[in-house]
Amino acid sequence: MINIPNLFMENSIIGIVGPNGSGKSTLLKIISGCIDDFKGSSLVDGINIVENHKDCARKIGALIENPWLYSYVNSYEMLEIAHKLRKGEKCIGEEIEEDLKSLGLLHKKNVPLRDLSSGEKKRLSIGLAVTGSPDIIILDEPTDNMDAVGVDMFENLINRLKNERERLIIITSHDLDIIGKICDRIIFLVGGEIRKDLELEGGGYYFILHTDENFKPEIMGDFSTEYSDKGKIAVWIDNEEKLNKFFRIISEKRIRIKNIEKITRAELEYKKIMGSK
Amino acid sequence: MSYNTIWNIRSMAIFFLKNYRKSNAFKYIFSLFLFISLLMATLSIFFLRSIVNEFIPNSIKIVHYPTPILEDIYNFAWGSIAIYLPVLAASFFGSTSISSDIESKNIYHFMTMPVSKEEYLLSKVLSCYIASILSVFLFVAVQFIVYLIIFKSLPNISFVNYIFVVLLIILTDTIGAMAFSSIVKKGSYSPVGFIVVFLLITNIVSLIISGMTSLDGGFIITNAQRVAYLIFLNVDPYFMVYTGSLSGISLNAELLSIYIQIGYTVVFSFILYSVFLRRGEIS
Repeated sequence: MINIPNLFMENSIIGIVGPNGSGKSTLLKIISGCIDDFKGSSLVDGINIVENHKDCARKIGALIENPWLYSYVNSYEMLEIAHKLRKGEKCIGEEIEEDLKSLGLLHKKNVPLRDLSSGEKKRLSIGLAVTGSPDIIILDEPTDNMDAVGVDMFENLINRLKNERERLIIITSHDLDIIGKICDRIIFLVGGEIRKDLELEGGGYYFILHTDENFKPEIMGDFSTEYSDKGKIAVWIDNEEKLNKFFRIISEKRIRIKNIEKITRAELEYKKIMGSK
Repeated sequence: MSYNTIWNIRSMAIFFLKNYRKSNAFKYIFSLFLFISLLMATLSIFFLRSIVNEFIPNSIKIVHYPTPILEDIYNFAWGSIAIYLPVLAASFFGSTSISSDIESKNIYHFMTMPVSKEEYLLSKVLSCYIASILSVFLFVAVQFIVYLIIFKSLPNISFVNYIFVVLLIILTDTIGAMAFSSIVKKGSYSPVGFIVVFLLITNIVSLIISGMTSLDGGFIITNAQRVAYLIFLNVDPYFMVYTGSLSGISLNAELLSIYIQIGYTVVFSFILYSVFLRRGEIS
């Protein structure tokens, strides 16, 4: 049961987070037209995707679930079929090579997909979703199985897509750090219901201080301490000046710190929603 | 059918065929059929007359082997092997084609593209059909070449008839395998499962046909031989063109067999279409 009213109407990068079974993937399947048996409607530019799948799908590129990919073809052939289906006869070999280059897979263009690592396969799957530069890009768990280099490449790709032109990008992930970094808006989904719809503005981190249980949050002065629980407080830091001030207060007030966690706003909100200690 | 639909079906069919061609399944089935073909070639070139002797009573002393008899026995030997190949090829290529795409989630790549479910299904059928034809026709090609070597002439028109029937049977078996594949979720169970279900269905249908043509209450026992004959008559390429008596069957009997074969194809196509397309969710 997913109950989500008019959600995705703007040009932005939206992150959808939630525990397993919260309905993230199901929601993406509905939006991308993989499921046609549901109540309500999924509209692309006002057109119902169930009734007019082909026209709507031209505007959508999606990576759904975690496909294993076809074992015996290579990455060039895999991208070629995506180009052919999205662009028809206009498919050009140079464009495919360019895509392979941006995915860091050009040197493996003739390698059968079964011989690629899971991270490389994931990069290729993302490449398939963005083939033809669609208006709406849907990525389900795009950074799963990716190493640090792959995650960096993914961030660069999303930034490039964001700067290229106005479009809607929807991403689900358990990696709240990456969601917090790249998304403009985060939807927290639990049991098919929206628990929170959060607009993110600018960068920044929360520092969670683990201190004594009798610690008074007021001691932190004008710092925002919106989360406090048994000796743990969250302090919002979004610039260097605040960071220096933060450490100065800790030093001056001789606050006994057991541990410091650096988390994004998304992670903090998730902790609050899920009641994580 | 629009140009875009044809383009999509063609592009996807070529893509799936590339994946089949490079797959281990294709290598195994191709090697197996090549081995069988070479075995049959050896048997035909060196032992055809010994085989013919098996069909002639010992009391008759053979002075000369008439070419038509040699031809009939040659066709009988190759045809009785050929009956097993299409179902084997179809079980390899067709029975896992959809279930493995669903299991591996690869189907989402196509369901999220500007491609309809019908286009995806047709391209799958086409690629499985061509892959099965390529492997089965390796056997048929060797049969043809060995025929040229032994008889030093082109086979008669019944060979064309035989090829047409083989094509029809490959189509039936491929669609049957794919219909089975659309029902099961685990690709690994599909090949064996399909062969068992396929043989069960064709046996049951043959029993029903036999029952309808006989008023004998104990027909299963008394007509067991006839039932077996009917099974093969309606599902295999050899008996559609030739009979066990080595003389050609009547045109009516062959047409009946072809109609039954087409009947199977239509029923399997309906199952494939309705099961696959009525799935609200792919996974």
